[in-house]
Amino acid sequence: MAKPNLPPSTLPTKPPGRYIPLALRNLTENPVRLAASTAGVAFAVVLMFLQNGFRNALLDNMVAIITHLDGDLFITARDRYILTQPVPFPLRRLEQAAGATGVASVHPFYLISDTQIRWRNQATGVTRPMRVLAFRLRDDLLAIAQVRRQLHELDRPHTALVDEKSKRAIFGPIEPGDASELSGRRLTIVGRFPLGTDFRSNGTLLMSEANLHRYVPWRPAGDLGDTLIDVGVIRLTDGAEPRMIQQIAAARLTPDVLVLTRDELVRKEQAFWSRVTPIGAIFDIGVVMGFIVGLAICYQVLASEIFERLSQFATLKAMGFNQRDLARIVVNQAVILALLGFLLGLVISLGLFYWLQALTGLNMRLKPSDAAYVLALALGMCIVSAMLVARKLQRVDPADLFG
Amino acid sequence: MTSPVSSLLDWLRTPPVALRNVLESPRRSAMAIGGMAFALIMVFLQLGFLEAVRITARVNYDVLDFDIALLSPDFEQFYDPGSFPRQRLDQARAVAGVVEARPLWMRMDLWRCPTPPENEGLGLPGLRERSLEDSFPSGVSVQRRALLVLGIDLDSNPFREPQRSEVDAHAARLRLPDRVLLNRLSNPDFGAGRIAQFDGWELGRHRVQVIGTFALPHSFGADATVLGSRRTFLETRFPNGDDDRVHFGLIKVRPGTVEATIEELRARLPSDVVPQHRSELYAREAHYWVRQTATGLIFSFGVGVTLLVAAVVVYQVLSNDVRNRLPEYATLKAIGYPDSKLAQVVMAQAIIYGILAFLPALALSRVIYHVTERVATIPMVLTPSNVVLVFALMLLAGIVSGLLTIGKLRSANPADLF
Repeated sequence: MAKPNLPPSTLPTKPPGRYIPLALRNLTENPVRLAASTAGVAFAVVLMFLQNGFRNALLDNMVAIITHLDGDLFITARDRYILTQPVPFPLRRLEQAAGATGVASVHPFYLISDTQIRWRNQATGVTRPMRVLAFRLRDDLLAIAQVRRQLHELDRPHTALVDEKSKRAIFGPIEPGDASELSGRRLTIVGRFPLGTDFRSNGTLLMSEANLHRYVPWRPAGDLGDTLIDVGVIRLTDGAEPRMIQQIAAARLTPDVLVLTRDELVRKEQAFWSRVTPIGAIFDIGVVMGFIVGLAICYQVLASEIFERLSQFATLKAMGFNQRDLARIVVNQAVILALLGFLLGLVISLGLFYWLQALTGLNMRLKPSDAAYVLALALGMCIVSAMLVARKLQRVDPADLFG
Repeated sequence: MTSPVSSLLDWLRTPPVALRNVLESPRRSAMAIGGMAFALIMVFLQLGFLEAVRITARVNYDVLDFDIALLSPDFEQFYDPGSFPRQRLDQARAVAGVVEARPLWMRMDLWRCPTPPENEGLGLPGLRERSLEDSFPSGVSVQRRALLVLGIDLDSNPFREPQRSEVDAHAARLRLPDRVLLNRLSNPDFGAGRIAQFDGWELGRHRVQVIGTFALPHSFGADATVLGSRRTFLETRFPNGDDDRVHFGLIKVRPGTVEATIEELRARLPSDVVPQHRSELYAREAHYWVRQTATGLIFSFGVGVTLLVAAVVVYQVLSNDVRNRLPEYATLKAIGYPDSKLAQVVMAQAIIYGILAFLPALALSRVIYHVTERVATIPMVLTPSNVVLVFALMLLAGIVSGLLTIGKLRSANPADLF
């Protein structure tokens, strides 16, 4: 059929210059249908947010402590392939590193895994594993505001701060003011701080180095080089280049320890959890599933929308619109649907994250990068569906519809 | 007049409208079925993950032969059982009805083994170490990872078949110090496939020899397991704990005397040990893994969410189909069919779609389970109850969606179409 001699316009324009957003009009014609379609897309978005959120919660929570340590370089035992594995190293390693040029100071940090120490649940009388962090108060090693404000409280004997996400169901009364036993010795909670539980530990206590040695008698203590510590925190002088100092320090140290930047330590930890354990694979599969569901839902929605209006599209074709124009309308519809579904899904996910956080104690956070990632996936799946649907429009022949 | 054979023949000659609808436009039907099948696969996958958590709770007890377990009052879960004095087992043996009282020791420890080739490239320091003194060819890198260590009394083997015979077969050699068996169903990262080629196995910092393998199903709890005699367990342990404490007491009683024996044990034994019925122990462990671990909670949540999404998908598919055929339904209405008849057609179609979606979903899920099990090294089992559950829910979703779309049919006005 010969094309009539019409100007190469895109969307139809009424004189003069009035723009009719066909895509928007199509979508909003039936509000109930729009709501249902949006809900469909939103569900897929929620699914992806959830799977992604769980994965990040896992990975971020496992390194929560590292990200808050106030230092530039970190020393751990080489065998300590994950921080939860109790593999301490002797304090004298810190002294060996302290002499390197560029090193301003070195400080010990203690991370007692929950397999080694137990807190008594006062409500039930049963002891449960508890993770304990400690450092010398004057070193101020944790860059958490609430911790910094309450450091002086930890100066007193037998005191500790508790992670506010620690599960009360497991540990019993564990608020500031409550007292119980840790390793069979009395301990009083004097404050709270925000950290977060993770897949291994259900709660965390923070105390001074002096107090810690009371509760871990099997660990040699004191300033002697044999004292066992878990992480060595190195602070560099102003202007010192971390990578260079890392090399220098590593050269001064024996092979039983590693010197890492914060990034390297975080990546090492997360690499294990996401690649060596099944957890990473499981949630990645979940995100892929969500994407495919979204693709299917989008396709269904768009296909039914378009095919209902087949005669209208055919008419447009008769008027002179080409395939690209029609495709653009469909894609526009898809994009609007994706955005609406994304917004709805975002709101629902925020609510779900809040609820899950209360339920599990994990830090379920929706970061802007997560939102951008899921938005990209949502747009992707809607646009791909739109392309698939638009291809069907190619075969639409106006002449078939009239008469 | 209406004999079953003739009605069947009638049915075959003129299949019901619902079936005709499904067969009429194969492509559209295929897409609808595909969408539903995919939603079902998603639900199966999440159910599989949750089941893996449940299996984790059961797997260690399933291989042990006991009716009653003696536990520490501090018992939280299998991997954190607390301990109690060994003499409680002797005291238990004195109780009427008790046939056997067997000890079991457990701990988590670091296992030195050859690095699997796929982990070499990950650049994970700490996971690998340079071995300096080993006698095998250089170039084999070594790693240390945590695994489960079990200790048993070789003279009172607490396992059920087939592990029982496997352990008994190696018993003579296990009596020698520092000899262990490695679970060959462990995550392959732990070296079960390279027993003949590697010589530097260590448990903690203690050199051991792997003299054979046994089969213990794997789970989330431990990536690998080694088994040794009581002596090997205690001597490789650091720091030395109390040699006279055990973690589990596994009690066999005479048939039919379980309840009475539990009562008797509770009365006779001091409060530093707690007798627990086998089924109670299972329930307790399942409760811990499903309700208290983050993994259990997350997967339970995942099941709920995917069920919801699947229901929505089913509704979408069916309502789209009805919408596409609205003119036809309107025509039927114009002819004089009552709304209820149309509703029957819709529901029948929903059920047909459902069944046609369910079968491929089931088949594909089996494949996906198998792949996931290999890739993620967790047990993925398609339980009959899950299959029935998903089928029932799918039918329910189909029927409810059908009912909801009937509203559309009511408003179908024949006159609007012509």
